[in-house]
Amino acid sequence: MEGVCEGNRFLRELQAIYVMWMRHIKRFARTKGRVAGSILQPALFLIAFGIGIGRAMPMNAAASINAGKHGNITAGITYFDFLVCGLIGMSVIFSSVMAGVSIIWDRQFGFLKEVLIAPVSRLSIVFGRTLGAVTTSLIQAVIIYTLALFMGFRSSIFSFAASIPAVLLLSLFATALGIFLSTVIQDVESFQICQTLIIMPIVFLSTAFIPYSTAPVWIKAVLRLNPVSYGVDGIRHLLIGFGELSFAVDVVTIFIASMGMLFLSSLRFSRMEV
Amino acid sequence: MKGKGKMMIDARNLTKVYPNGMRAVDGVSFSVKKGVIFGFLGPNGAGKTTTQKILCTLLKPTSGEVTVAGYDVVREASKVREVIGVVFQDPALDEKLTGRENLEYHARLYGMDGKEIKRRIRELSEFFEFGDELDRLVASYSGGMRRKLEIARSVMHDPDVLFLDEPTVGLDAHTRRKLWNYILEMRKNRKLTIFLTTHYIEEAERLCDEVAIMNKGRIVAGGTCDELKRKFGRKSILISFPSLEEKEKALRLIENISGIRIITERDRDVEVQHPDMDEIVLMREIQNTLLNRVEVVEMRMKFPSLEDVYVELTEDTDGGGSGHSIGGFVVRRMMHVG
Repeated sequence: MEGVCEGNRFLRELQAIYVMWMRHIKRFARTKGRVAGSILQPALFLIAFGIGIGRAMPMNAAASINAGKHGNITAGITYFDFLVCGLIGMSVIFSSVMAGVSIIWDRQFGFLKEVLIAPVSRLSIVFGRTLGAVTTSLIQAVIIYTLALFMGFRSSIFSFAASIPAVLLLSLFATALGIFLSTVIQDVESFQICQTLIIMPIVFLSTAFIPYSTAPVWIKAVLRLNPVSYGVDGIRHLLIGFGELSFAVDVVTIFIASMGMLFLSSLRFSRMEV
Repeated sequence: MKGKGKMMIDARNLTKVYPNGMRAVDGVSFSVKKGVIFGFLGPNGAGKTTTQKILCTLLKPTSGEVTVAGYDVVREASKVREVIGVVFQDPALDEKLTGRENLEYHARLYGMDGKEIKRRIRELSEFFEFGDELDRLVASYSGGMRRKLEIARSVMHDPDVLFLDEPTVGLDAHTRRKLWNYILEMRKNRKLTIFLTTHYIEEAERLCDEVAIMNKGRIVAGGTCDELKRKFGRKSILISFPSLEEKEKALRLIENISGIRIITERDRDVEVQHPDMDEIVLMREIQNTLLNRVEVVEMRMKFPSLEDVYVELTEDTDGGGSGHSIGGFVVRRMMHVG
């Protein structure tokens, strides 16, 4: 390979993205527990939150009014419908963050070094890895969506297709956040702390589970500060035609947040030493 | 390759200070010619791995100039990465992939196309005798197989310089010997330069054309194994006697030579040294002492092993102590090996 010419360079970067993507998919598929878990976890949440709590309470008045203002479906949004969108968001975030953070495992098991000395841009590495994470997250979203349909979620394939870009953006944001975290924390142990202090809060203090319209003012402020809120609200707009924030603001905010996070994590990753 | 002589690796005043203030590498200079197997010897914690990480662009040096194949490891890191292959001290394989996938993904990162990859895998599979193991997950591999795969992976893209960091650590004697053969064989086939880090002296002696001994962040000696032995090792004199009685008799006489040190005394053999006497002179002295009094079977000069030299030069690694270094030898100047 003496003197790889410049023309090859672009091809090599593409191959690097492909390799990182393929590797992620293969690892995902070969970890049996992970595949099972990715079906079981959302199923559990759907049963516990959706059927358990969701069926018990109809969407409250304020939210219904909002629904009338923004959405196509003017009436009959149940808390279950509301929740399914939140669960898709949660599941996408968990799996994406995990995929990003798994760089720590690569460091622990040495594989990271192999990647860091490869003659390709670290941007391609980050990009390939992110694509992999986004792909597996999307698979999870499809699984939940399908399960939810069986449980009485009212939506159409078309709305699901329409919501995919929003799911992708949210996944992008979360993967980039995961990669960023992996460059900050040094070992697997401190990941636990990150999980409690960062990942859980950004999911549970977002519009994924808390309806914005009925939240107290200070919670509203927190929800507004959390990019995840916009991502989930965007998904909701597209999936069930119901949202509590402006769709335009949703799209712009989650787009900016994910690009910013991607930039930050790429920067950190490209300066990484082992 | 770019010019700058024919040095494939050239380090000048290389220093690495970690953020915690530890001076892992302290003003090291050395160079390695093309086609040479260069051994980097030293005890654990001497700074070998840090040096190697800098050479293969994983760490940035605090100061100093380093080029590999003519490219600067900081400013032209991606050029360096194209022409090197690396086997790290700790395993760096993806266990959830098969051996073949590990090789293939590596090759893709180095821009090889599918056809080339297939051909190369076939070639290496034959060379390393992988058989059908390549299609199993790495998680099921033995330690030896993993190492073999890592070495194969490191040469997949046909590098000019190969870095091997403790390549045979933790392997059994058979596997170790096999790996040594592969390494020697690989070098034979092409003009590959190999930078080998090890703390096994035997390994350095078997494989390396030249060695540098590192201790506490500095290179304390360098040259071919023979040069080092000649330069730093103290020769000793081995005398064999026909019987134990003769030996005892001789010992009583030899002890009268003032300053003489009896190093070993085994069976009918005695090994002696004298700290301030040339070996030839000592030999004559012993001869004179024993002449016509004791029967001697054989008397000869014994050269030190590389291990003797190594131990002598790297003693006192834990700091403190009386600083037993040979003649206070410290290389800070440029050390041109070879």
